[in-house]
Amino acid sequence: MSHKTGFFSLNRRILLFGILLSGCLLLFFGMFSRGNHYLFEQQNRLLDVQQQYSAVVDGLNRADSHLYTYAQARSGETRAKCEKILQELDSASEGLSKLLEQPIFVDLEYLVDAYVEEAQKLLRAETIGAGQALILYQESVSSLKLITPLISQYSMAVANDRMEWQKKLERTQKNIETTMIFSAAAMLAVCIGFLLSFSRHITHNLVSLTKRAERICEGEWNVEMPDRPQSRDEVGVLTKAFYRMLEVIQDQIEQLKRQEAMERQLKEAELRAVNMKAKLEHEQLRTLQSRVNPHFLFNALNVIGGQAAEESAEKTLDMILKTADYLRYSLSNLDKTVTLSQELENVEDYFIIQKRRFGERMKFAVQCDEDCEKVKIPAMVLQPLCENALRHGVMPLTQGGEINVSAKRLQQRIFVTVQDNGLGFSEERLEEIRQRLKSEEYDDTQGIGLHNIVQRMNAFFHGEVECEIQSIPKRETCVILSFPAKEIIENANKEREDGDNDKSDFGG
Amino acid sequence: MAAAVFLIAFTVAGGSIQAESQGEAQKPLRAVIFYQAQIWVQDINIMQQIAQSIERGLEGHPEVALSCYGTEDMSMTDAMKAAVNMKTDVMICYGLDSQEARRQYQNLADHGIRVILVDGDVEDCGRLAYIGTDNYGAGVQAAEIVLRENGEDSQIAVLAPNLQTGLRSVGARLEGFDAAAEENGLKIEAYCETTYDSLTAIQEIEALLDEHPNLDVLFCSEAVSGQAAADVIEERGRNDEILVITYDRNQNIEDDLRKKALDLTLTQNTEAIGEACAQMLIALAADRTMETGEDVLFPCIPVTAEDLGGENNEP
Repeated sequence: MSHKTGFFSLNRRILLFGILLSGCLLLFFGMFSRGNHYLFEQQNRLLDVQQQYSAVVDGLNRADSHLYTYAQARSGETRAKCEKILQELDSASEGLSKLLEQPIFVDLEYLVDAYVEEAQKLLRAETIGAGQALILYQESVSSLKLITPLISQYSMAVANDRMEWQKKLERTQKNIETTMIFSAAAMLAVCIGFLLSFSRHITHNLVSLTKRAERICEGEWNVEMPDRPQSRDEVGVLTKAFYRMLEVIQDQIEQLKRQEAMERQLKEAELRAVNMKAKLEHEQLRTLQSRVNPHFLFNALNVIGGQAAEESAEKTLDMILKTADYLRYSLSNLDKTVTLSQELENVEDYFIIQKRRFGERMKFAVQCDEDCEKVKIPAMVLQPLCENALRHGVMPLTQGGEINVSAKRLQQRIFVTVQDNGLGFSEERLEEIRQRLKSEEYDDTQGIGLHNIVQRMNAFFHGEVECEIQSIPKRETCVILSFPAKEIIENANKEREDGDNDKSDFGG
Repeated sequence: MAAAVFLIAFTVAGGSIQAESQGEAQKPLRAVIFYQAQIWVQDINIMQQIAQSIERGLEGHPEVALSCYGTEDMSMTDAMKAAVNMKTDVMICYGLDSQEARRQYQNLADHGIRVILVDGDVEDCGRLAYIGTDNYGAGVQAAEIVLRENGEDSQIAVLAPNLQTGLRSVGARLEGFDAAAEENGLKIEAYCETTYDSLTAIQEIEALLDEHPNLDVLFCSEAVSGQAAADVIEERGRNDEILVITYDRNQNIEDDLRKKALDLTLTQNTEAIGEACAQMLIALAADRTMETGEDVLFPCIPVTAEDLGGENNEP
């Protein structure tokens, strides 16, 4: 994917700023120049007014003087001078009227026109006599006399105009200065604003980028991304690429972490399996120790059974059958999965055998809910519990010992309880047992086997087994084993069938 | 944003720099008024007051361009000639009934210059209108005051700068006073020409009082004779004996009123006259074909010492 900066590139922005600045400067100097030009124009206007008015006043005086001379001498040179003076006078009055634009100067223009007209009559009358010339001159003077009484008024008006114009110029100059200052300040503010914004835009992004890079160098990969969107110039492109790269790295780190966790879990599972196997081997060894020669045992039991049948010793025969069943189950199912009902049957066989030994010193009860019967469990996990109850609970009693084994289902968990009314455990011993149950590495070979049972069950049920032990000294002990209610597998029936086939060896 | 800032700045600068543009419009009506810059009587210059009032009335009306000239040594007839040379549209002046003045009125008319008379009327001079004090009525007003204040047996002297004056303001007052006096049976014992010179006026009045010691009313047809009469009366201690009526108002007249040297002055409403004149000019600017206008007469306002109040010194 290509990141085009296009119009937003830094280069272009700087160029735009340069153009803007140049434009502003041009405008500024243009305004300054225009303002100065205007002021010069107005100053010139003042001078023009003064000049024109002076020309009018002077022209009137000179014209009268020269006309008088001409009226007497009537030379061509004087005439030409008069013509020139009158022309200038006329032009000056007209110019003054245009400059000042006041009614009285329009009046003055007309008064001067009238005077010039009278004077022209004298200048045009070349062939008249001296007397007539003087009369014409007097008429021009009469016309002049209508102007001269008003000269002071015109002078005052010119002076007032100059004062007002001067004030106006001062005001204009102030306005121009104010505008210049305002414009310069505005331009400066805009430029500073732009520069600040521009530098802040660049430095902010770079500083932000640098800070994050520093944190990454220190090993902190979990750096958060900035909230605001990146600009589209070179800095923005660079920043975007950096953060994209960081994202990818963070994803990869997460991936590695997940892999590591999975591997750790696998190793733990393997370790547990190995431990389980070791324990199982240990159990097998223990069993093997008692397994002298199963065929000899079964043959011996067969013979004894036959003998008992011949002697009609039904009780003896029954005991022998039970013993055979127990031995068969124990030897053939040690590393297999059985149903809960099968395991409880085995427990019952065990209790029957032991009952013959202890007689009335013990009673037992085995109960299994119907919805628990087909739940899978590893074989030979309940018998050790019952053996414990018998050995530690009932055997020390001289009479009245009771052992109750029950299996109940509560939602998706099975609760198997082995309860005896024996001597129980002290608080300290009970706590010790509980601590050992929690320990992963406890060697149960010299203990009561509960830890081994729990580990085997956890290996089967993936750690979802809970074992609770309660005891009241000299009163009772209760071991509650809970585990998930797993569905029965098809092989369970097959296993049961295999077990039944073995039993046929001892058939009566 | 920067462009907007500079656009505003430039507009502001341009607005402050640019001169006001004047649109192309009809040429304004040119009017001219002349008044004597020399003060005949201290602070009193009716024509100047009227001119100033007209200027105020024309503020905001560029369709009328008024030129005001205060001259010290230019007669009214010369002013009329100047108005012709100026080619003005309207001339405002006071009524002057003399041969030369009538010639100039005609000259103005011949050159198409309309005349508005203020401060004295010459009805048949071809003027556009008379806008000013009802001077005839002012004379009648004075006679009625004499009758009311002094009764039929008053011994009256009439004072004027020139009894045959062409100045229509004074002339009309004299006519009005004479007519009203005759109508009401008031007897005028003497007429006195006081001239426009204050010292001469005082001398003439003193001589008048010496000659007519029983005079109890002095009707002064204008302010020069009025102030001179007040000076004489006060000097002779006859403030309470002689009723003195004059015209116009200034600081001296107010002081004389307070001292009872003058009993009453009839003032002209120059402000109203000027305003009415301005309205006439505005109407004329709108209708350049107007040949005659409506006369507007304003009565005089009597002012006594009681009317002056505490410190009101305005003439």
